[in-house]
Amino acid sequence: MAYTTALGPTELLYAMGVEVCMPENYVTICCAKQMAKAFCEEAESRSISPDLCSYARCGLGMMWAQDGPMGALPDPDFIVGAVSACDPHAKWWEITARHYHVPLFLIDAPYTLHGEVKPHDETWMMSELKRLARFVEEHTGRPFIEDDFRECVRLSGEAHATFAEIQELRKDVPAPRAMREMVGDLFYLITQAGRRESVDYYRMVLDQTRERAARGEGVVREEKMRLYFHNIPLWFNLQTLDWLAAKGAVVAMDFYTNHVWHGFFFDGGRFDSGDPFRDLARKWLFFDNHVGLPVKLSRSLRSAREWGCQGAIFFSNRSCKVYSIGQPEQMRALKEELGIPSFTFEAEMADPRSFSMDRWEERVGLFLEILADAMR
Amino acid sequence: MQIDFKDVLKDRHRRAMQHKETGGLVMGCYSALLPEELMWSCNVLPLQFLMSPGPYDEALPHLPPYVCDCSRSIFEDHINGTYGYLDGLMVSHVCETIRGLAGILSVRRPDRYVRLFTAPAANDPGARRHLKTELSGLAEELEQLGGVPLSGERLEAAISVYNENRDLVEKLYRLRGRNPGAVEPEQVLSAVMASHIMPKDEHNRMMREFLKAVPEAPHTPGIRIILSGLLFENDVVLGSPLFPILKACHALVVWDDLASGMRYRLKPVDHSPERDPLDRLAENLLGPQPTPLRSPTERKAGQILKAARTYGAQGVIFLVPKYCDPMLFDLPPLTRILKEEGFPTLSLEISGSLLEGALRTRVEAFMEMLST
Repeated sequence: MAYTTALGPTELLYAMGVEVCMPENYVTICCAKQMAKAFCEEAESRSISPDLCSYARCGLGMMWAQDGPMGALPDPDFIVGAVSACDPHAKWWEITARHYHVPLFLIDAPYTLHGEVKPHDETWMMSELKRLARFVEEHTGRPFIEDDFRECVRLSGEAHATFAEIQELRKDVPAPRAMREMVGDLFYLITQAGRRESVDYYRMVLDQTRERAARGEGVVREEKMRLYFHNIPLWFNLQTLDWLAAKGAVVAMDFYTNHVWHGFFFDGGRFDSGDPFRDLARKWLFFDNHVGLPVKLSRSLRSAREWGCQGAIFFSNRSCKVYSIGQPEQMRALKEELGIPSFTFEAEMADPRSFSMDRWEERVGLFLEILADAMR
Repeated sequence: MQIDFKDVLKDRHRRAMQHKETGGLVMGCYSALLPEELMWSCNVLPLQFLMSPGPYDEALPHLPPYVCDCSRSIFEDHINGTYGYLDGLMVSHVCETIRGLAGILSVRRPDRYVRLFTAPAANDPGARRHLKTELSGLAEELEQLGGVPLSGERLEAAISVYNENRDLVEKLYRLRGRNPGAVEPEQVLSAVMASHIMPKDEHNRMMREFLKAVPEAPHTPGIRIILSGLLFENDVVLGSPLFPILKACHALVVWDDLASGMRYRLKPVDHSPERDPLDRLAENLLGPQPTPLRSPTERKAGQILKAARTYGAQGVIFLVPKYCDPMLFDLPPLTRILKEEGFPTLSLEISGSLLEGALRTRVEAFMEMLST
């Protein structure tokens, strides 16, 4: 059993018979169960700085407390981190590997500032995935079987393609599915990519979404305005999205479900190279974590434009510099190029101490009023 | 007359302009994990950004409040024209903030060359091949900017000059480690910082003179300590309260693991002439690297412990920039390991420049503890 970051790569690990456990994903459940604060404090009591990522603090707190929303996670046999993804995705796992006395594998990747992937970037990314396959062979004694891997990547590609179809349906007015539902849907794309279950789940959701769209049924009773949301959801307070919905504001498109894990498919890519390592490498290269601001900016513009958003909410996330640095440039571009105004607030996605619902309601309420006036 | 490298630091913009006047290019750099030898062989002067003290008014609307002052300082100086003469900017992927900053600068100034360079954390054939191709591509980009085409001969010469520089800096550290009373810590740091911003051959000449002039001082009694983390330029050039406080407490800095000091890429590049110099340079840049993100805490702990034992250090002071995630993650296990090995530590969070009041109280208390 391996601990991995939320980037995986699950396709390769499942193909090699490794069960995957994502502490980061478990933190989101912990947040939803309103248990994150205690675990963040547990980590801070062990000298982990409160300035560090709240995913890492909560995850480390659960590890040290040997507890969690459904009990402690099982001990890992090895850990796969990603030095390329963000600072915590390298250093958090170092602490975890030290705690469990297990081997740590860190995947590295090229960072493409302008999104131009050169052939040698792709080759290196493939080489990193092959290096991981050798590491797993060495530490589990299980051989890498290309046919199994090919099948897992095929299933992952199918899941992503189906997910992309669901995202397309969100363009409908009223939106038949929105961020509140999609951040839950994402569970299968993150943790189950490479498994049949993810394909089955997205096919089911696609069918339901198509039916809703055909009936002209939106997720919000009276869709008054469409918003674009940027950054990770506030996992401990998804009611913020319900609150928006109650005001007739639907988050028609969001950065998190479209650009982060799904970036390659959002940009029009498909798993069609014939080489599963190449397909998976491309998926990795286009994670939002691996592209520069010029790419992030054009993705935000496209999401807001194509999904018909009239306003944007940018969550300045103290726990995620990778997604938050460059937000002012994106807000400016939305305003200048599309005439879309933005609202921004600061908090942390997994530490409820960082957020006040009352203040948020007051400020977002004002923004929605201004937006509604502008739309008249 | 004793060479004062502080003067070089204060005069760095004029010196960089001089390089341009002779037909060379100047590249603004962040982090030592960059192929400076290759740049220099293409007649491009790598000029490491030294941090200014702030305030960072220009940066305020563009960077969130929870990023380090290093990134604010680079943004500020890049936008306000302090480094208006640069031909480009190259940053190494040593943290998520700096690569985010590169993105902002490339969007705000699309007319300027902005390059993010990744030295792979692993050292396997795939990483080596990638890095070599990356280095060749970089040389082509520099040539398009107006640099000299890459040649094996020029690269070999650059490697030789850089290796000599590393050797001279090592000599200075050894000399200071053996007799910390012979040379002030500000002088050592100024010398290393000067090597970040001037042609290495010129720095080598100055270093040779500097080393000759270091007096054979008698053994100086005091409490021997190591500094680790980051010190801003102004703390060294304009005078930090840290050093007078250390002196007043009879503390002697015997070694450092500062980003602007010993953490500068000091491992020499292999000089075997029978091998392609580009291969050797790539090999030198590959991991594990002297940056917290790209090497495990145990490696850093091992280096500090080795220096502490070699030079008889009694304690370690960490200077940790606020919001520096890689260092903040390293700190708890690092202090634990050092304490287990009998070396007490003091962690000081720094933001901008060091503030005298809080600094004095904490340093004095730490020194008192070490002396008992």
